[in-house]
Amino acid sequence: MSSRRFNQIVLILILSYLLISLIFTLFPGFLSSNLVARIHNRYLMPGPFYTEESIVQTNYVLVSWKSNGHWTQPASPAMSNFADFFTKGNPDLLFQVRIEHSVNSVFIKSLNSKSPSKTEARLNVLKRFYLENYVPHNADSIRLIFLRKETRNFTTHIDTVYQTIF
Amino acid sequence: MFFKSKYLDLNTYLTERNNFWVTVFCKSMYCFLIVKIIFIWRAVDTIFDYFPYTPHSWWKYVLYGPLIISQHHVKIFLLCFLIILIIAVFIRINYVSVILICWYSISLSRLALSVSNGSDIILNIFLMIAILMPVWPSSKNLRVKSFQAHISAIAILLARIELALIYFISGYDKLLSEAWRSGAAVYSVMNLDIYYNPFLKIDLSEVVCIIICWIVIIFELAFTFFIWFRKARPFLLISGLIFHLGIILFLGLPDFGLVMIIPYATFLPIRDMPMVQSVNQGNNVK
Repeated sequence: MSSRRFNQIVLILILSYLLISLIFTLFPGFLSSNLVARIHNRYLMPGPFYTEESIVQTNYVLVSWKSNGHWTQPASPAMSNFADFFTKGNPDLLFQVRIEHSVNSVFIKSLNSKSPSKTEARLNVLKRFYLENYVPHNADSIRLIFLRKETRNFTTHIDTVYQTIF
Repeated sequence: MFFKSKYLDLNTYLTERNNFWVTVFCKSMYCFLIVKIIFIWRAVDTIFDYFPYTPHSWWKYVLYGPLIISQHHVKIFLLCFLIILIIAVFIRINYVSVILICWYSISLSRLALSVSNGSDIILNIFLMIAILMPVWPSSKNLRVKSFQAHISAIAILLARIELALIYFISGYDKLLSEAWRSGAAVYSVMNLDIYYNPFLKIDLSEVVCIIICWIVIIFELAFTFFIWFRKARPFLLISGLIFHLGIILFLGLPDFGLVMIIPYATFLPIRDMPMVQSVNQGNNVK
């Protein structure tokens, strides 16, 4: 094969890749169930990674527990770990924040699912996470408050999405 | 004969030049992965505990092959990857190491999917492109050797195109977003409690937010088109460096900021060597 022919093939391949990337990224709904689209979106998608929705809305959990007849002040372990990451520079804290965020997100998503058993299973994982990582063993009851913070057009709203005591 | 020898000199120079930037690019990614593994080391048991992963189909067994090790002990998988990376940093970039590292990195991303972000996808894309970059082991056949150098040069071009594409898609998405056009996006980012550095909270006026948003949009779109012009390149690379250092400092995304800086190596300016100038002069005489 001549060098010129080879360069032409390479050029066609690069242009095809660019075209496919632009189509799948700029029109996310296009053939979304297609295997090529799924592989592209999972392994080759060049963005956008931080879309408007992801910066406008954030979910977090406040935890409080009852011990010796008193409830502690509800606090967000994720927020305090995140602040500690910047003061202590310990990357473990950043990973802890990300794990907590994932556990919460999976549960929040399951609230919209039609399967109660799935939601129940996710909630159990969540309870285990907070019990193992933040709540002392002598706690009698634990309260989890799920909050959604939304900041749009320079104004912030905080809503309670879900609450549980166990 | 004279021109043939000059052509071979130039070819050798270009190959060596490419080799240098390929080495910088690939080894920066490997160092990043080493640091990532060290940092994830203690968290990996928790990740695996809450988000276990077992491949269920044959193609997933192939794609995430190294994760078979993690079924026995997740840290053995990390240790194997760490050893491969450390060896790869000290030896010459070669076909075996680039393929192995790409394979392991894709597996690591799957294992740590719950704590992953855009940086993992970007890193894996560049590691896939890097598979085409080595020129070693090189063939003794001159034509094959030249073909290897050619493929390597194409891979560098592909890495540059990919970086420009990432900026284009990000800039285009922001341009379509009302929140970015109105400046509200910066205010929203500053209110993301588990992403924005709480020690750097500043009260910004609406006008300042609008200016920041438009600087980001213009920078991302300008990078896509003007990075191909040699004169604009240093300015864009320095601006990009400041932009990503800002992401590292202000947002809790040090991995994303670093991964975006590494591919800049493929754009670094290179001064022409006298040998190249003499070849050009020779061509002019001809």
